[in-house]
Amino acid sequence: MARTQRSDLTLRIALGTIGFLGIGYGVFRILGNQSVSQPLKLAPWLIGAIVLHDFVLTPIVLSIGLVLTRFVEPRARRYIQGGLVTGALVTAIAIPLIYRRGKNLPGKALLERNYAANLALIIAMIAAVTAAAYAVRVMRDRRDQRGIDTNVRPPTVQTSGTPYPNETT
Amino acid sequence: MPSLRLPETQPLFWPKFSSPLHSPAVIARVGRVLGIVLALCFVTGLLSHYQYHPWHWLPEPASPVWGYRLSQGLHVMTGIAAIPLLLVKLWAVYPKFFEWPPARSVLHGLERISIAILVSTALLELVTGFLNILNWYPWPWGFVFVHYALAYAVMGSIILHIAVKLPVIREGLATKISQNAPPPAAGEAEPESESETAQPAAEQELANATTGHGLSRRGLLIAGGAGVGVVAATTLGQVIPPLEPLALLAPRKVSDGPLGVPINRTAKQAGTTKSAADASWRLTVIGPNPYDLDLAALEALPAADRHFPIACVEGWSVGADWRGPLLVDVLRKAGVDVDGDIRVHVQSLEREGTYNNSIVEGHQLPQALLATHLNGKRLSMDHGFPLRLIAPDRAGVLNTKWIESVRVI
Ligand code: HEM
Repeated sequence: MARTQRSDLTLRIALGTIGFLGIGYGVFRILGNQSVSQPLKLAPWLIGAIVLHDFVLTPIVLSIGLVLTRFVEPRARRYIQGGLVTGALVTAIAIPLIYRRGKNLPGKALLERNYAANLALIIAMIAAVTAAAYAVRVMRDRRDQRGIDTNVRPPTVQTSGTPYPNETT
Repeated sequence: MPSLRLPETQPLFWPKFSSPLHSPAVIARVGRVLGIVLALCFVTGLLSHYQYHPWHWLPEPASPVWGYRLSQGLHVMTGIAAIPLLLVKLWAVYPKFFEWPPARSVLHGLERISIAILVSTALLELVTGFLNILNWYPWPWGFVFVHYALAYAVMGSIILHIAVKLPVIREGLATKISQNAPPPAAGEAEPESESETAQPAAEQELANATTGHGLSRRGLLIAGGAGVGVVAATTLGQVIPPLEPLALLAPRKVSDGPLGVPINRTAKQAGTTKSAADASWRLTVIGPNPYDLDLAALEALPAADRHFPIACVEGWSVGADWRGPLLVDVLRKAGVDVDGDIRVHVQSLEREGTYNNSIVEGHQLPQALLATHLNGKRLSMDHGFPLRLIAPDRAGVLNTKWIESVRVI
């Protein structure tokens, strides 16, 4: 135990030093060529990235989660959350494509697809897969319920659809 | 001491997070994938940088011919895939943002500053990289330079982050995704499990791993993984042409390019529409015995056929058939010893622009073509008529178009 801790410490110090030097080199390069890197204009973008992510994007995502937790029963919620996570990640990539579509010279073959329609298609497919998975879950739970009714032991390994023993924690 | 101390307890209206999805078991697993993806992105980024700035004593190799196609395809694909991964990672660690007190010690304060550098540079690097492949530059700084410099800051702060979090990473990875705590070390009795013989501890932990039956940790990883997978599957078609029908979200539709190859810089953008169409165009060859020749004379030379890809720094690529005389054949006629250690400077008719010239050297030189034809047709104006360079394992823009002269340096 002590030995792994010792070598861990060495590893961590080594990694930390490399990491620090990496950051230092990046900053050094940026400050060393200010006419190109425009640090005074770059800085607000760096801060803005955190502000937009932590104070706009994430609160929106969390509020959606909160609403779901309030109003949707747990079994359905699980699937809705899963589908929303997948769909939102794809949407994040698709939004700039939709926004910039058709703004380029034709020979570039750039951003010519109908991204809004394509995104809709992908979301429809995610929704279909999610709904199918949910339907399977409902059917299985029903079958298991019948098993309990006729006094058959439930499966020993808890599947996510069956109630948990110590729900209060 | 003046009392500038923060209260011991967090403010009344401080956000609280109850979801067990924000746990090291999830964070370390997402972090591991993100770390691998970004390491690949960084290394392939350096390879691309080398294409543009090679050391003279170690010129870019010529084989495999698809080398840059693979490395830059990987660079852009890993960069795209890292965006959804980063979003999941940041969501999972969000409660840490509201840690109280904000800094427990000077060291902890410094760590949080490094975390701020990590998050801001990673977000900006990935977002601007993505907008760049859409040819959209809504910022005032030079993209290539800042992208390169920031990459070190991102990679450096990831490595520092791993150093700081190593114990938590180990703990998180050792925790089964369906558990709350790592399994007890061998020999250590799990106190609770003694009283509950019928209910093994692991099963209890499993129960704790879902919030009131909401999305489980495994569920989050599956849904997040599906998001990354869909993004990758629907963009890969701009690198791997057979997958183009799936490429619903790929920026380029490679097959729509004229003669089957997209254009990055048009003749109009380059300002070569007139000069390249001029009937008096001649290629000047500068060596010991300089000479020049017109298009008919060039086409009278023995032509070679090569299948080389155009692989753009923006990540798309496509293989193509090129035809034209070998660069070395043209140079030999100017009395150049092409077997010597020479570098050849290729100059475009384009007057301005960073990529209006390029250097061919090393193993690429004997394979380089002065192409007059692309995929069986004469070069179009946008593809570099009357003459363009094409060489193997070479970044797209380094295959100079609208050639005016070649010169040994
Ligand atoms: C671009 C890359 C990454 C970003 C932006 C990022 C961001 C963050 C942030 C903001 C935190 C919260 C820090 C705090 O205030 O304590 C965090 C924690 C953490 N990260 Fe990362 N991270 C990245 C890569 C990684 C990698 C490669 C790993 C490796 C597995 C990793 C594993 C962890 C772990 C284990 C924690 C601690 C979670 C806890 O204490 O509960 N991260 N990360």
